[in-house]
Amino acid sequence: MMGPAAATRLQDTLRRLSGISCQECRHTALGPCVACPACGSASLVETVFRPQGVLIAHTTCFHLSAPHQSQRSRIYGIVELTDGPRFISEITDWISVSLAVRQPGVMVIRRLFTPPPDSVICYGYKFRPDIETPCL
Amino acid sequence: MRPVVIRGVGCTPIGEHWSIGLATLGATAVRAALADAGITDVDALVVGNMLSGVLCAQENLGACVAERAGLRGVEALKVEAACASGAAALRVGWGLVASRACDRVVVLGLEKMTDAPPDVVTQSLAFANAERDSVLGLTNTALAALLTQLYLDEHRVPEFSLASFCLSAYARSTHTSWSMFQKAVTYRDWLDSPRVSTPLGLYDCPANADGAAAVLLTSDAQSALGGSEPIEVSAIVGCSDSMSLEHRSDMLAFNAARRSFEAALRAADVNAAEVDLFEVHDAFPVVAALGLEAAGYFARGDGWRYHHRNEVDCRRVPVIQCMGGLKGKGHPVGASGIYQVIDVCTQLRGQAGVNQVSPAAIGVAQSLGGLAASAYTTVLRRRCVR
Repeated sequence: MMGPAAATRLQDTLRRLSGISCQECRHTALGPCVACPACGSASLVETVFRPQGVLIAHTTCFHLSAPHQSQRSRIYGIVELTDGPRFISEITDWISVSLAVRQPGVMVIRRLFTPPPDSVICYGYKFRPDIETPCL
Repeated sequence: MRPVVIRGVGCTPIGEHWSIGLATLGATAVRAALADAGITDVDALVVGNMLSGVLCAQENLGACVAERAGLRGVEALKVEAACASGAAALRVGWGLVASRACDRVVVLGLEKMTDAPPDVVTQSLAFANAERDSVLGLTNTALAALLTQLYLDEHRVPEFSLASFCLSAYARSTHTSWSMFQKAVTYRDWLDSPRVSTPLGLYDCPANADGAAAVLLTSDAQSALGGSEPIEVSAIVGCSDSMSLEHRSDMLAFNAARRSFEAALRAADVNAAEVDLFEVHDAFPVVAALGLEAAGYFARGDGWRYHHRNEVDCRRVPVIQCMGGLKGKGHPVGASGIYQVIDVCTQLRGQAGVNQVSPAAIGVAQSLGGLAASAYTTVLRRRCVR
């Protein structure tokens, strides 16, 4: 279970699509980096990416790990952001939406799981398909 | 560096060993390997293990197993590289012998997964990238399912085509005495199996299991002492890649697997077409397909055609899953890398019975950790052949 220190450290990572843009190879990546994952350069610029993107793969997972196992299933997807990076996220607000590859959507903040009474409530990003826009 | 050989192998059956503790399980395999080699003393014990601290609350595993195996006093340590932990330990043990730091090293792959509740095991396997995956609830199987979906979509592969990796694995595991599953699986079974994470069903996923497998490494000179037929470890090379799939420029290319395979074969002075056996890391069908592509046996997007290889233009392709693979035998994660090596040694010694592949002179085992974030390739060769 995540303690207060980890929850504090990760709140920026989990609530904004923050990452890096490499000044050497132009690679973009989400999450904290001290060197470019592609070329190893330390010449990085911290970047907050726009929340719009498209779903490029998804799965319905029926066997969840602790502490998420109170849910019967979850949908996860690989999302390609308009700004370039990809990220893996839970898909939310999908009821009545028929998920499809290239489905556009947007990052939203939601509670990640229901914690025990003595734990920190953890919020983070999920991906919400946009049912108004046709698949790209 | 001096030549290194495997002089003894030993393992426990893979399964649910509820009556045996972690250290005793490991010690059983160590003693079997020593007996196979016909010796009683070693200079060092290297243990490959992923989850002993989390699932069994046991660290300092080297000393723990050494004492239980009657090797108190020897240098003993644990090596960890997710599911490739066993192969990583072999790399360390090989280095100790090849560099002349030690003459005899026993390398043990050890995992005990069934002592903990399944949801805790699932969470622990996600620790391969804990700060992100476990918070989001992502499981290792969910990541493999996403990779599978991407593979099926991008290469327009029919979903049923990946079944062949499962069916062939279970068919061979029925003839392997140490495998967890002794019953073949039919296509109907595969179709009807419950989904774990779409599109992956029960038979597409490796079984959590307990297991211990050990090999005894010695220098080439010591192989004249007797015991079972020595198998040469011609090369072993490890490489790494991004832990996060989304950080890889191409999610459908296992670059660490490709680099370690190419470097190991180059170091062993072996051509890929000369390889008779390739123990590919088949934890999930898509991982096996991508492993075959990374090794260069198939073009990008064609790895799933392994069982239909007469229909495509590909190199001479070795036999895979020669004793049932990770899927048919079960997958005690930190031990699997050594089980793969024992599978190949059994074949090279001509002791595989119904599963025997002929000819079997050169075998390769590739162990991957964290969806190929860690990759170890070992080239094994029967001596006095070719």
